[in-house]
Amino acid sequence: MRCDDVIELFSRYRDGELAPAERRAFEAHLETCDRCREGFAALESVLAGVCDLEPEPAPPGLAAAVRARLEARTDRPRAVLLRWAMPVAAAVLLVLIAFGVFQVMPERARLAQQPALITDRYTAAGEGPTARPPSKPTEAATERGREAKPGVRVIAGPAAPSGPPGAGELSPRRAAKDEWAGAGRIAESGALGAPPPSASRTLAQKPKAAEPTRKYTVREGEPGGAPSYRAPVERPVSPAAPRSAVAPLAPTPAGPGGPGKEPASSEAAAIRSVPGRAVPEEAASDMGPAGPGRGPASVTVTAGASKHQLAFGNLTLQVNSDEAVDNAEVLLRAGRDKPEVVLWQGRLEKGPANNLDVQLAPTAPLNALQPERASTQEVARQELVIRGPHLNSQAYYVFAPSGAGSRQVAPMSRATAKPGHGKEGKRAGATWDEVLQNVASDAGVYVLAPAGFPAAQATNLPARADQRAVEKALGEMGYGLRAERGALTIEPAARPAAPPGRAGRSRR
Amino acid sequence: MQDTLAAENLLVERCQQGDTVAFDQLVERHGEWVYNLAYRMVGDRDEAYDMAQEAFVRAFRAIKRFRRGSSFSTWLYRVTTNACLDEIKRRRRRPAPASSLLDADGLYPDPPDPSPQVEDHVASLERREVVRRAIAALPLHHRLPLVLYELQGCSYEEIAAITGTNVGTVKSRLNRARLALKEALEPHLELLRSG
Repeated sequence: MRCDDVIELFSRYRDGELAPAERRAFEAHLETCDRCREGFAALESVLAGVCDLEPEPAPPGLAAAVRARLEARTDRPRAVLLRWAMPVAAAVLLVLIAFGVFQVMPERARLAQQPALITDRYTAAGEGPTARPPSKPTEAATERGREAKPGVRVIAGPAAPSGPPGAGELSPRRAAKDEWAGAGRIAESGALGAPPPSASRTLAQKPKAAEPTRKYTVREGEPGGAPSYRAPVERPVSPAAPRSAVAPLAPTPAGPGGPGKEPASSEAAAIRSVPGRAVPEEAASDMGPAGPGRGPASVTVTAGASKHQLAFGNLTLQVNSDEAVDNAEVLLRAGRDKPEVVLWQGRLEKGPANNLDVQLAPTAPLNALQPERASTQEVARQELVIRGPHLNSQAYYVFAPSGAGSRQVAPMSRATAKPGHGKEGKRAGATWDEVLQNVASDAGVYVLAPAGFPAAQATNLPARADQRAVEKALGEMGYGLRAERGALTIEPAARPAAPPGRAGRSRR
Repeated sequence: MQDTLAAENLLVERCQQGDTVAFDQLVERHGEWVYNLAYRMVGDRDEAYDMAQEAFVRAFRAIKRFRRGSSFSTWLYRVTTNACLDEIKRRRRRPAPASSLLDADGLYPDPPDPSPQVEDHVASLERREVVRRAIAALPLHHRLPLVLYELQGCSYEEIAAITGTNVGTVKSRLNRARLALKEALEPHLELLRSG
């Protein structure tokens, strides 16, 4: 038996599928051939490793999710109809053209039909000269020239008054999106007041020098309360405008109400903050806070939980700013690729200094947004944007609501990888600095804080993400820091804090 | 075992008569199973959850066509497999944006001064991740029989029924998949054996 034949039989031998004679020949070969013996042993180890994989626990609420999806789809007969109607209509049109039906139709007959058509439109619109059909062709033509357009517009449906030209021609899908971004949705979700005109400026438009970045640290709220965020003392500067800079958002009309005030159920929260390059304090002071005349700053919060978690858990966000909060706009958006979809919107008028509370209850909009084929992937990229003239900061947070483990924290995307680093290179040799550099280029470092993490002491963490300093501070609190696949996890220390000298080592 | 099968047949029968509560129970029974198959097929938990829902929706709609007497789980696996394959094809036609969180190709920073327990935990996670990636890298027609056989515990015959092939093809593909997996994971043998 040759080696190639033996390799082909590995699988069948393992499953006991070989005939006795074949099996004996196979075993005899393994006894004499080191290469095949080692190869088979390697296969055994590999398959044992595969078999040892524990089954993944299914996310809770699968049955409810399936039922919701089924119910949502039963309401979509029109979608199916449209899917078939369009090609059929196109085919019919082609056939008509092919047979020259339009050419055969007398020109006069077509012209004669048009005034009647317009009259019908007026009738449908409930306005215009419906009771007075044109008595003469010339009169009809004049009527058409003067009023046909308004008539057609009314027929086209209740387009948004400020909508762009041709809004009525949007595809159903696009139109649905616009509905979410538009006035109706916002009024329903309780926006207060219109944002300042400058609120639609983007981060990318701001000059880099005028972009002092405040870094927030995460802490757990009071028992049964919410995670809260506190601004540290230091004021580093954002290294560069992030790729995920906030896209411009259309100014939104006023609406009654405010953010829902449901209790928070988060037990753990993760923060993804921007470690920046420190600048001298006086330089930072020169920049000053961003006032209304300088355009708003943004704090972007990414809700990293998957749909079903967000749907069943409410989040409370508290941002403690060292400047007074005035007229901040709060938006929960559906991902960077769908910035026009606003899931939830609120406004924070005037808050006391160092205090800004936002309570989110995105349940209803989330469920309504994706009644069918809800891609958890898309919803996982929601962003919460807080805009305000005095919030001259940006930070990216990943929330892990109630009961979430680290697996719910969004992993770093491939886009954050530094050029020239293969997977293995990163895995084996990435240093702390490289990690920070890479992460900073896309927003920040994921930090997952455990449920019992002491809130008050969290603010003592150094503002800059320096591994030794963070570890030392955490060690004094009885916590440790675990770095794994781009996520930093704060966890209770299993043993006394390690000497700082070892903590900063790198295997590179 | 017989009782379980009888109970399942009863549930299927009730589903075929439109009983949604019975269907909920079937989802509860097979949810983890279906989710795991989807997870191994698409390699992402969120996507897998999505696929599991899709599979059950399809199953509910098609359950009247399910022939009593055959294995419901095999049929459900086939539905799940088709849902996953459709999704994978759809994804190929429309690739995810670069910023997608689909891929966990993140960084692996060194654990700072890990304690033995943390080291074990990290090694375990790393082992799982290495295997997950190796499986995800297999071509679909190899991945499916491997996942079904090694992870889901299906027999050759069941796999043949699920994939619509014959037993000989299943054996051949399984052999190819195992050899490919061995090639991919040989550099990580130390890590695999540490578990």
